[in-house]
Parts: sequence; C-alpha cells; structure tokens
Amino acid sequence: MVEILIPLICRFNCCMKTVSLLFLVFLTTGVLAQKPEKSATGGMLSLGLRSSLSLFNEETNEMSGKGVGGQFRLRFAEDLNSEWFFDYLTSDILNYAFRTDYHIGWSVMYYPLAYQAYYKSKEHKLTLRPYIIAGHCFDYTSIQSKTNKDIFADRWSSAIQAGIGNHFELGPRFDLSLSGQYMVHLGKHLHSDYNFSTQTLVLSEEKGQDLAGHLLLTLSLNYKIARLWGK
Amino acid sequence: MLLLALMTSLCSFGQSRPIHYQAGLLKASATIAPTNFYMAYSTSAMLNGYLEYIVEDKISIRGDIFQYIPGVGRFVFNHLNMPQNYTAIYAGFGYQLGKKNWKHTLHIQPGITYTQIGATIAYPTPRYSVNPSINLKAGTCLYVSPYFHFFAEINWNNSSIRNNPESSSISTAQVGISAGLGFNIQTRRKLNRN
Repeated sequence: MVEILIPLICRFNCCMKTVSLLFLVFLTTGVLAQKPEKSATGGMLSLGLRSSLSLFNEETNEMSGKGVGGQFRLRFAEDLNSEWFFDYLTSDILNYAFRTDYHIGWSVMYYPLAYQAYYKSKEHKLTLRPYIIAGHCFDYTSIQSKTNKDIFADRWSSAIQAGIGNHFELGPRFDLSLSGQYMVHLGKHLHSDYNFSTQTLVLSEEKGQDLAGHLLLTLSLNYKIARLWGK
Repeated sequence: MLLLALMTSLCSFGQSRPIHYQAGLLKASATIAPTNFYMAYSTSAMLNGYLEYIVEDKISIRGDIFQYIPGVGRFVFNHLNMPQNYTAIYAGFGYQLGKKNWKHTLHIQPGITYTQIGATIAYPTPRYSVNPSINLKAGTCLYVSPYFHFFAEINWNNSSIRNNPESSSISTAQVGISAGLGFNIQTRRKLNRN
C-alpha cells in the first residue's frame, strides 16, 4: 500500500508545485501591470490564447473547421513582432469522414504604421494597430472515417502562411487580435474518395502538385507578461 | 422591482462604502447553469465553475469548466442529438466595465470539449471525442464584501462532435445562464477606500 501511495504523493506534490508556479506567474504579471511603461517596443513578451476558423479547405467536400490554440509573441522592435503558435483544428468532410490538423509554427508581423503620431499618445486609449503577417509552420493532418476508425490516413508536412491582421489594444498590456491568413501546404496531400452508391471511402496520399491550402481566420487574446530587453 | 430597488440602494450607498473590486482580486464560484442546446432543440443543465483573477483595473484572466449533468432536461429529438457525457474547459480573458463595486463583464475564452456520444445498435461501442470550442460570456457582478459577490452571466458555447458515425457532426452549440454567490479574496494590498 505504501509503495503505491508514495509515488502518488510525490506526483501530487510535483503537480502542486507546477500549479503554484503558474499562479505565482499570474500574480507577478498583475504586479508588473501596475507600472506604466511603453509596451509597444522591442523586448516585450506576451502570452495568448487563440480560436480559429478554417475556410475554403483544399479537400473535396470538406466543410469549415474550428480550432483552438495558444501562442506567445516576442517583439523585436516597434514595427516588428513575432508570433509562435500552436493550433488544433477539426473539420467535417461531409458526413463520411472528419479531418484533424495540428499546426506548430511561427510568423513575423510588420506594423507599417508603427511610427505614426497616432501611437505616440502618453495616455492609453483604444488603439488599432494593423499588421502584415507571414510565416512558416509544421503540420500534422489526419483523415478518419466516421463509421470505421480503422479507415485512417495521416501525414506530416510543412506550410507557409501570409495575410493581414489588426490588434485592438484594449489596455496597455492587453490586446485582442483578428487576422486572416492563407496557409499553403507543401509536400504530400491527403485525399478522400467517397463512393456514394456503395458508401465506401478510400483515402490516399499524393505528392504535392498544386498549392493546396486554406484560409485561416484567427481571433486571439494576448497579455504582455514581461520585458526581456530594452526599457 | 424589488431587485431594482436593491440595486439602486446599493449603488447610492456605494458612495460611502469601501470598494471591494480592484486589481489583485481572486474570485471563484460554482453553480448550476440551465443550458439550451439550441441546435438539438433540447434543454439540460451544466455544473459551471470558474476561477478569475483581476490583473488590471479592466482586464482579468479566467478559466471556466462546464460539466454536463446527465438525466436532467427535456430532449425533443432522440438521445443521439445529445452527448451522454460532456465536459468543457475554457481559459481566456475578460474585460470589466462599470464603476466601483458593480461591474459588467465580457469574456472570450477558447477551450476544448471532451464528449461521449450515445451507443446505438449499429455502433455499440461508446465514442469519445476532443474538439475545439469557444465560450463567449456577458455578465454582471456586484461585490458586496471583501469575500463575497453576486453574479449573473449568460454563456454561449460552440463546439461540434466530429466522430458521430450515424450522420454529420453533432453540434453542441448552447446558451446557458449562470447566477449565484461567488467568493473573492484580495491578493494585493488595498489601494483605495471611499
């Protein structure tokens, strides 16, 4: 009994330490938030959560997908930021299969209006900050039959994405961002062929001939948690 | 009318009362949320709990959990339109409006749902599914003491169960109401008092 309990207690202690550490980070974040400082300059690190909508998917009969994920941003300069993200998306292929996508990647964001007088106000107000975004990601995709989970195909590939977006800066440290990017998958493609008369599904993998991709609309919420360099 | 009179009197007396809401407040509660799965024309109930931390005057970090209470509700269609088990976990940010101890809140919280759909004769094995979800929430909150608050919120959650073998995905889009008494503590030194 003791042999079972001791590892469990150790594991519980380990979990509690992690929870305490996370809680401490959030409390520290709050303390930092009290200090007035320029938050749109290089060195700012922010953490965020995101929700995505995938439209105009490459696969025949594939419907729009929904996604969830997280990200952090590291700002290099007043007009240059970077976003490091993870997404988990699911979508239907009519009523015979469903597709799951995992994206892990990075993007660079450029603010073309960063040096306008509009952004120099000392007092914070709701600020709009448009940007151009482009980057790269690795992705894992699987397609599975709804009726038979053994009919399954998957692939690893790489993708590039680019688009535009806007931050709605609701506070000096908090922003809500909306972006639209087109993601092009490079490498092998997964295809599903469904015979409606016999109700049979065949999944296949083909080498990339065309620029297959999808439009990703992303809503994210971000909070600046630390300044890694600069003043 | 009674509620309105109570709110008005609380607001007018609020001028001379201590302010319980400020950055550093940690709050939590659990309640039962009547919920309507409007895509399945069915009504049910969720156990809803939350933990929220006010990081700035207007910004908060929040996490919510919704646990489906089985056997409670009215199902218009057959049980296949409803999950047998449903757990949703969300984390996100809130924006606080309003003055002093009476705040109105808007929350956006991405999250995931863990669901089980009912077994059928054709597909007797229970199926589990993890899917992306989003929770939007609007509410109002009255901080009545350093330790208690009353809250009322309306939730909209949206997700789909993809691996339904019988037909296309089951939508778990829902609207629910949560209200009740919550608990709060101040984790930072009090800054202001009226």
